Amino acid sequence: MIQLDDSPAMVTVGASLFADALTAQVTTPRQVQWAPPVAGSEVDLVAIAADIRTHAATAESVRRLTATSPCWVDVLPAREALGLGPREFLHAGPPVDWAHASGPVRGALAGAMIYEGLAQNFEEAERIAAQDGISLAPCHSRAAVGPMAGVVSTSMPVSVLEDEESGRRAYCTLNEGLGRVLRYGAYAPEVIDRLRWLECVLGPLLSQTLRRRGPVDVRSLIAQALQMGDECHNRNRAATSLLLREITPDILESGARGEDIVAAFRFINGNDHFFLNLSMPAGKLAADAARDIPGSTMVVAMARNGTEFGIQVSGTGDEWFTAPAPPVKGLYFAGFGPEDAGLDIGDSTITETTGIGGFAMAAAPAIVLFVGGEVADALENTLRMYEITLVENPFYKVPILAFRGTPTGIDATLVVRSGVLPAVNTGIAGREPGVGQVGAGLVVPPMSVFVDAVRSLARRAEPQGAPGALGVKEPS
Amino acid sequence: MSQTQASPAWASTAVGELLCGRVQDATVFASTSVASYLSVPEPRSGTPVIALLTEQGVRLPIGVTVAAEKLPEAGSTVRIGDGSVVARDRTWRAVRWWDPRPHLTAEDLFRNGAKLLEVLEDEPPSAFGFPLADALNVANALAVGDALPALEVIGLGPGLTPAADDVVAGALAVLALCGCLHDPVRVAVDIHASTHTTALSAALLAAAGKGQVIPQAAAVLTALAAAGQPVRLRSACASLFSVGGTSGHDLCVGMAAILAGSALAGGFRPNGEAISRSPR
Amino acid sequence: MSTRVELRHGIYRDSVVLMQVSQAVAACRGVTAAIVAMATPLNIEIYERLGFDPAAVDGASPNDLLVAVRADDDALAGATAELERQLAPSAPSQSDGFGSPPAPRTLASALRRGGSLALISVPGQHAFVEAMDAIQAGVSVMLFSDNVPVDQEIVLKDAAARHDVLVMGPDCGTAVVGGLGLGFANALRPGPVGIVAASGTGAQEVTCLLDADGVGVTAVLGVGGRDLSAAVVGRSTLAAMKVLDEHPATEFVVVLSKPPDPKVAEAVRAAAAKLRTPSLVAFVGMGQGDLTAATAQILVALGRTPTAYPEWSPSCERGTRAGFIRGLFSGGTLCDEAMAIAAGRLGPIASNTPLRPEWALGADLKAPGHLMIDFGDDRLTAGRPHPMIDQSLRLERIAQEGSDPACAVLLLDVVLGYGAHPDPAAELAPAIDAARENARRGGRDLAAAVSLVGSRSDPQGRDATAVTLAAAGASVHLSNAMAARTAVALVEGAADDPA
Repeated sequence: MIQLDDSPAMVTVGASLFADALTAQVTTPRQVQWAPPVAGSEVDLVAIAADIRTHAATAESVRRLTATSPCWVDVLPAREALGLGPREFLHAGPPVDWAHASGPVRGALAGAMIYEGLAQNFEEAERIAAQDGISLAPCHSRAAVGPMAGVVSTSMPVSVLEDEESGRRAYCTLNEGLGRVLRYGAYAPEVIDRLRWLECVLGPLLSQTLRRRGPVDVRSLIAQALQMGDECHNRNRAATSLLLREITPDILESGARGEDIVAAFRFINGNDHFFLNLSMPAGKLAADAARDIPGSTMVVAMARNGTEFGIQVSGTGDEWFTAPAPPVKGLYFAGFGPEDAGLDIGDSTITETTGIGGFAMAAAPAIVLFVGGEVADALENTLRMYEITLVENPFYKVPILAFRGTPTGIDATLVVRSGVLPAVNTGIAGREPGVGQVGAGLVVPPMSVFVDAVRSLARRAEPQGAPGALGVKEPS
Repeated sequence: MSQTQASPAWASTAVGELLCGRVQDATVFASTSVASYLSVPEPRSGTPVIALLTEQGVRLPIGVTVAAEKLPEAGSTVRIGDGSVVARDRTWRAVRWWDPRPHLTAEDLFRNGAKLLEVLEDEPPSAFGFPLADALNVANALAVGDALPALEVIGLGPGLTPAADDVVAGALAVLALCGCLHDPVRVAVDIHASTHTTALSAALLAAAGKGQVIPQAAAVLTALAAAGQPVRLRSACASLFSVGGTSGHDLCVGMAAILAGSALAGGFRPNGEAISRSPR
Repeated sequence: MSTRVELRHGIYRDSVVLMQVSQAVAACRGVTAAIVAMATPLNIEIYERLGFDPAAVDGASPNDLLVAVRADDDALAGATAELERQLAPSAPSQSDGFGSPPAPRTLASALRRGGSLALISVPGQHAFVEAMDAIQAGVSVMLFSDNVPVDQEIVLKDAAARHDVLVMGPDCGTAVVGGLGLGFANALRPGPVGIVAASGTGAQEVTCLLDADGVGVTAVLGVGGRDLSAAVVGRSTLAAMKVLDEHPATEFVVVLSKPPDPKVAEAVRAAAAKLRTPSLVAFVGMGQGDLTAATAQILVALGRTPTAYPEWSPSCERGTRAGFIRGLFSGGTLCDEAMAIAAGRLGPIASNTPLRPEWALGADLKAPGHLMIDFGDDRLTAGRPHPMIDQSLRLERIAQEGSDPACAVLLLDVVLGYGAHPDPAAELAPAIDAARENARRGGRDLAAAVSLVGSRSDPQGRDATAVTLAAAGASVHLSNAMAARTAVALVEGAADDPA
């Protein structure tokens, strides 16, 4: 209860004249730099704040997210791990159909169809897809995530991540490497050959290795990598190196053919982003734990399919809140420019959703070399994210912030109230199918998806007192 | 009076007389980043040391808090009196006051007094500047009118307020608030302190002898007095513990030693009145 | 073996730092003994026991910093350098890498960094969300914002009860907590009275009158203008009464409000009767007694004798005159009180906040007879600063009244304290002077009465303000009731037609 005996430690929000009156009494308050929330959202924010479930439900989401302990336990074909049928294809981002799919997604779907033997070439694949010959669903709807186009088909090997305590699982394909790869919409024979190699050689090898070794604690690797300059979305070099250390002895003793083992090492070693396809499902596993808690305002998915940017929130179930995908602002590889760039794409924003990636930029200042900006910006990005998140991550700590936990668990209402949008850094895919990566940069999610989510939360809110009583109206 | 615009100051009522009395020049004899300590040539019935503090500085009972980034440096002269504090380039006018003596009775303090020692027992030994057992001895002796053990340790410890002094101050303050501080004891401590410890510590001991403490200590005592709310007590203790290096802990030990010590069990005040220790 | 002993003045570090310095220096290569401490007799004993020369510290005072190092001849310089390094003032550590952290954008974010009381003044439709941040963080709130819907007020106060915090407001303009004035508040001395107030200026009037009597307060807890309505049923009032009752230093509890809903009034009186602390419930207003009378009751309950309050009389001639009272107020409660007193003697008083609907002023705020305007009313403060801060509307109106032959007396309140205009007399005195001069040229003797709400320590200077206003021809009263009665007396008895 209010303490009357000592001069209070004041916090002010609103007109600065009140803060001035306090300073004149030699008690400088902490002042909130307040601005009105997005126009039209105040009624929704009131409804949510008045809902007696909100605070506890959101706190429970956070608890479940941070309590998750993701471990890499196996690599299995998608048909087995996800029950994907021969004509079923998953893709990154919110739901989309062929007609509206972006270039990279179309290219990747065509490539996957060729890989699965459903089509001989792009034109045939296009014809089949346009006539509903295949079924499409977001990775997110099947406990999976995929980087860039994120296409998963029945024969592809997927990493299986499991939460130690609950046994829940999440999945992601193996990272194909850099250059011309399926996830950037390439479908040339070399891409198909590589997919085959992953299916027949690397996948089974890793599966044997993991079964031999036992689960790999992915959360621990992320935590260590963050203290080595990675943020586990666009910088994964340290994490990939740490991962190799973990599995090398058991790969060597797996009993596989020597040349396959060598090829496997060369492959992983040549791909700094190999770990991304583990950090992503680790995030997916944690975020999914927090889903479907009525009244919770925590974001459980941020994802893009090259056409739209979408989010999902714990308290609104499977509803997607989408808007046109924004462009990425950044640096381009030699020979490429903004005219070559596709729109923001991929499920990799699951990293920002769970406290790493762009939110941990302060741990990876070198990233500014790829995405642009100054080192100070990297720090500022992380610091700004504390405004819209619910907790400081108990496991992922940032050295330069005196080991403060990363900002984790985005609160949709805080985004709408503060005007601060999640900081995302990402690769830029070529617009045309088959081109590959053309650069990397920073993207700002559209505010409208958070406003829509808040509106939906408000409609489900349970007001205290008289039903429908809360609203901005004349005082009695 | 200088022509410069006066800034506000927030002062302890304990320095009210000096601040509002006849103007005199004080000298800054020590300064840290959050406090400048002034030596007052004519304290009259007040304190010979005034602490000029920033908002980050602990509000000593002999203090004046001002909004300033830089305080007058050691060696400089500061004019006090007539309601103002005038340094070379700043003038502060006292606009607000705090009372460093908490309004608590013996009954209030002893009601849950033993709980304070319990909180201290959870703290690591390295947090204290002065051993708990010795502190208990000193406090018990003070409670029955024996100042000697206290005199033997005043001035022991490296800091501006030596650890032993903080313990004695805590004990004196609680005794004073309960009305159990024998005058000869108080006088003996003051006289001894004037030659055996830093001027600042001596001034704080004198203030303690009048029941004047820092706000964090007052908050602990108030939390003790409030009807059993352990969270509030622990939170108040945490604030006190963050004061100084070991000062907060040592002060708390002095207070706890009196409240939990056996010396006052069924004891008497200097005027012969019995102290009630039983809960209401 | 070489030794270095020094006594230094003026630089100080806390004990932990000094111990660390001692240890760091003692750990240097070749050092056999080191001590860094204040030169108190006991510390000197330690110094001597370490084998250092007593003569070297002859005449040392406990306020000196004693530095002593003994080391191998070739190691002393290094040890001394380390000592200097350790003693040098260090830059404060920052856990944000570069620069200071960005300012918080929501109250939730700010409170994560600490805070024990939140003061919210954002526009009414946004206040609820910020207030819930505080309540959920276990922090009490002063909610200055108005135009908060009553349903939201109820939800806030119910949530506050669950979280054991107090909501002061909405539409709470005044509070004093821990000696700190919040909103529009006067500089008050500490004392035995605790006040729960549904009216800010009412609380200001009472506390300033008490201050004039040398009686201080423990706290002024505002509850907002609507707390005692039938809908809100005194939620914060009852909670605040409990807080004051349980507060050891509060020896007398006062509840101050205009007359509330009768059922609520009963609940408050019943609660007051059950308090352990003596209390007074003062519902002041039409037919119910005024703030000055309530203050007198408080004084009597404290065992003191009420005396007359200071007044400053103008140097000009007094006497009754024909014409009407024109009251121009910044505080609604003060306006209400003045209207109640005046209506009792003079009949209808037109107003934008009339005592009876039929006495309402039109949008032009003009009327031929007696009138009193509350410039602090919501409709007149939309999109502009409060009249306690910005006097322009009142100054304009004073000038107009100066030219109006019907105006016999100007009645004004001047509220001092934190948050208010830094020197209201500097603007008002010339305006009153000019108006009176104007009237004089028209052959009229315009009188002015001022109700001055201020404490002895207010930043504007209470007495200086009074003197300045009196010099301009106003009679200045600390008691609003007295000012109103003075104004009434100036017109009563002269031949006048009720409006």
